[in-house]
Amino acid sequence: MNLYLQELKSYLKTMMFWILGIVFMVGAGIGKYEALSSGGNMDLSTILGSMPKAFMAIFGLSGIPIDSFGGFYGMIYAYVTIMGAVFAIMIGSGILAKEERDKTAEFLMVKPISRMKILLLKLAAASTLVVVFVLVTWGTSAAIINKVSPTDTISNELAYMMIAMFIIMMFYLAVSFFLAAFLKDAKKSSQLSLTVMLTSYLLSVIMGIIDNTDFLRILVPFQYFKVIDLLDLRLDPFYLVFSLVAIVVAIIASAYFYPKRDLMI
Amino acid sequence: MFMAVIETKKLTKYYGKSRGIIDVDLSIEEGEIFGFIGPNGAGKSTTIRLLLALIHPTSGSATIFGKDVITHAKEIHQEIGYLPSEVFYYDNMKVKDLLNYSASFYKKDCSKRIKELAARLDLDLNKKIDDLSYGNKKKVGIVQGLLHSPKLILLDEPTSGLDPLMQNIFFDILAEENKRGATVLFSSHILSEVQKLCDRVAIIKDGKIVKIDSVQNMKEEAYLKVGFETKVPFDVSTLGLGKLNELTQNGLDVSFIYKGDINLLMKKLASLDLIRVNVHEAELEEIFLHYYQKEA
Amino acid sequence: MNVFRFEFKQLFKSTLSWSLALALVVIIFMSFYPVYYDQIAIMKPLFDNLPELLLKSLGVNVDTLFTGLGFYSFILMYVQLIAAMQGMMIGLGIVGKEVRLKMNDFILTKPMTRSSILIQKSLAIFSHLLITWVLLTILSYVMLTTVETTELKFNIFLLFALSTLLLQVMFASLGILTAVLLRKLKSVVGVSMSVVFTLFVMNLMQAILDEPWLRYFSPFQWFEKSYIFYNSSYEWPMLAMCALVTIGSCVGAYVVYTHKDIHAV
Repeated sequence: MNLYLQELKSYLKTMMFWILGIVFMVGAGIGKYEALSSGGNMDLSTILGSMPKAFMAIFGLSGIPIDSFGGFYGMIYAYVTIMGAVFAIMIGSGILAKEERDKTAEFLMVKPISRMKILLLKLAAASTLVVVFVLVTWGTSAAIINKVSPTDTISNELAYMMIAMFIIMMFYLAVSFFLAAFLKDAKKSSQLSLTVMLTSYLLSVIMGIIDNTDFLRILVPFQYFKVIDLLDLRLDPFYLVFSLVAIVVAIIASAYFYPKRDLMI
Repeated sequence: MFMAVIETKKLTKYYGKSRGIIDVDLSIEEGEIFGFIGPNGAGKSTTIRLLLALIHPTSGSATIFGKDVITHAKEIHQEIGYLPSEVFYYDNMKVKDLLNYSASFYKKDCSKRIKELAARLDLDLNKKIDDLSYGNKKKVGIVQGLLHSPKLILLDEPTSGLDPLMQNIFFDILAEENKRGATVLFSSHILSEVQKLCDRVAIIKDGKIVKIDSVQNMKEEAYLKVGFETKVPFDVSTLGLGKLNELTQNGLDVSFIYKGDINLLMKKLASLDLIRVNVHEAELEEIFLHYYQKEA
Repeated sequence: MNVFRFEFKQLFKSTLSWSLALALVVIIFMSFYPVYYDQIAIMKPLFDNLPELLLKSLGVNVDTLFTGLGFYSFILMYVQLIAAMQGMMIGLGIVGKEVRLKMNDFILTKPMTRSSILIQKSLAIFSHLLITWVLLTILSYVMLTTVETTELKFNIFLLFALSTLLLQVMFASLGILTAVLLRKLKSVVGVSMSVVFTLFVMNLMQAILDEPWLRYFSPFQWFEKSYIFYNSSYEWPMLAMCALVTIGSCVGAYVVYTHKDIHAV
């Protein structure tokens, strides 16, 4: 338990920065909608709505119906999720590897606590941070949406989007966590996590441009839950199960491999 | 004839409000082996880091070879070999690669010296540094510090991690360097080493120098360590021997450090009914330790 | 110059990986041009009817939209994301190497001025960025001339290509400054990823936010495509901003590095 709290404490400063960032992003984004909808000269949403698919994909907005408030928020959701993935990877690849990287392994690993327990407690701490991230996004969004458009509540849609974001973030967390648990070299595991993230991001852009690429979807967590579905209050059941299974598998694999391997001191 | 190789004048360093060192005056002569001892946190590392221009003084000055340590750092470093207490190196490098890289900074060909030193210290040049034990990494540090045959050698806890055989070899190497004309500044906690090797010693405590003297003089200060056991308990103060340091009385066992007239001590001891007695010259260590304590 | 030689050699592996990644992105994305072209061709009449101001704010230039170069300018965003990551990572990594590995006691006690060390490292970094850039530009040119049906406006292509180099150098300078300012450097990937992605997402959001002053803080916006197309030059304020940040970071790093205390670790 003390380990759990200690880990949370160590990320406090980082968390502060990220919270500020989220608040700014969400605030600025939704604030802009207000400016636009309250009689701007250019009806951006209408125009964007008629953009060709490839064009939208370039901006990372493929498949998002911009013509409604929900759709507009979907844009923001898409962007915050990217940041969420970066956050998850940073924490996931770092929290386990830091003991070897900072050479504190000789301190922690000889304490009367099994490696498995250490791993699980760290995972719990990392997950908590992800939860905080999602809650902050949720709360900020809800608050600002309420202020900007009290009537057009999209609270249900928002809830679905936040849950989706949470799952996607947990996916990236689990993958990078596993890489750190499995690989001896902390540098390599963090670079690999970065590659995974970049690849999935670029693939998501490609999927937007080209048709018939749905087969790639399994490689792109960002696309597991399409915004259209979320706005319809629907979480794709296949991907829901898939992602949960993947997360669990990654965790079990981490718990299996980590105690077995040599620690790089 | 003897030039001061290192000279510091009222060298002071504050880290914000906490004291590093205060008004340190040192004058280390060419060809000396100079010991630098003191309790943890006393300021030994701070002093050495100042001499190496890793940190900047708050006030005061320091010169090496007559040149200011900060403004002429580059020239000075050409002739300094530094062995830090903690050795860390680049990832994925072989020993020889690191040593060659180190040598490339000096305007000399050090390849022969590298081979010599590595052979003597039993260091495999082809191994990866990451795969070495702490002690072996320390050896890399030693070779790295000496491969350019520097005129001044700064050592910070050099033997920690070396096995006893290696320690002796290391001291032999140092002695040879010294004979060649190198000056050595030796910071250590291992008082026996300091006593054995150094010409002079400076003791630093709480940032200030509390004593600088030659080892010889300090030995001659004639501290005697006295221990004896009497048949019946008695009060030591009745002996009239004056101030006794580190007086311990364990039932019938008495021991203390005595500085004074040896003949008086003998007379007083003779007046006692003793079971056993032991009088010997205090090791410099014990004398040093005396300075380490809270009340100097 | 031994530090330069040393770091230059050390960077080869990394440059190889990054060049490969950039090459892949360019090849894959450019091969989508035909798909994009088909979609855009349908939209042409729509575009012809939209007000010029709107098009400008979206970064759409009707003349060039239907050219390979136009498409290239869109995917450039992603190329530059990766290039920026490379810049920041090697800037941070090479200059921060001694901090990260606790090796300052080694290199800073050598007979070499701190400024010399920093300059040599920076030279190694910029050389490798230049190498990557040259390879990238050649490849882009080849791809463009392969897919392009109309004549390629070479000078505009060059402006685009050059903008990538300028961004790389800018991010590298930021990385160098960060390395000098940090007392502890734990994860190069973590820091770089956070900084670069945040700025990148800010750039994506600009499409929505559209605040002119925000553009100054969003490096990916400094070389705006439609402006380059319309004017065959860079926007001077933005270019100045880029120069300012680059030079400012380098000078700042130089000043701090040569004067700071290096504490025992």
